[in-house]
Amino acid sequence: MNSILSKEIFENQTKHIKGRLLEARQWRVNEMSHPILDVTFLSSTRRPLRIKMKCDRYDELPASIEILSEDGSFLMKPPTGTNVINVGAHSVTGRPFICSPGSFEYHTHSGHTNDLWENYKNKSDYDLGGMLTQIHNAWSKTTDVP
Amino acid sequence: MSTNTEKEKKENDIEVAVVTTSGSFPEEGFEKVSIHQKVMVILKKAQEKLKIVSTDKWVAKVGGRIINPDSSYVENNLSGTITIDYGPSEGGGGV
Repeated sequence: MNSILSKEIFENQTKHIKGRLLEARQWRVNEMSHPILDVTFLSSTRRPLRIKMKCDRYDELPASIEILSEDGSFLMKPPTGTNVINVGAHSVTGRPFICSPGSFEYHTHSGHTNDLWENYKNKSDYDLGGMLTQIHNAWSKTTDVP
Repeated sequence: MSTNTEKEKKENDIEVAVVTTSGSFPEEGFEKVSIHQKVMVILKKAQEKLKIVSTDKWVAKVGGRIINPDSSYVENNLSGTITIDYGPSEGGGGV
């Protein structure tokens, strides 16, 4: 995919991730520069969760989403209580993954290869901000408290 | 010095902002509306202004608490100045 076009789509979909949205959701942006969108979810009632979206070939391909601890290391025991975060090993990466349409790991998982990215691409619920929001809403229901 | 009518009006108003990853409504500051107005009214305005095609699976929260858009602010126990966090509810593949 043309990297200039990918960058343009990335910047268009992330331009509103700022200001009072970050305050309301208690999000901390660690990096937001194509091809990386790296955000930490904070809360007084649960352990922080860091989500790193790698968008090298976005949106020809969906973003690859890493589930990290606050320090940036892979979280091998992510919070439980939501089926968005699959705590099992992904068939390709071997790590826990975001099991939701719109993530590269979902669409490449052996159980979902028939559910194509094209079914979701260009829908606001599944753009970069939409995916981050979905994961945040899922995380807010997890039962993994400090 | 404010009159009783002004005081009553102030008590019946709420200042609201809606934030999404597609932008905020209003862009700056807050919209003053009646506490008896349904929350859905400002969510629809935000959807139109921010050109969001569909909000069918979206959820509205204030301070992390899910609110009912079909009820009024007062029915949702909301008052003062609030920011509504509006966005898509989680999906999930369930492998």
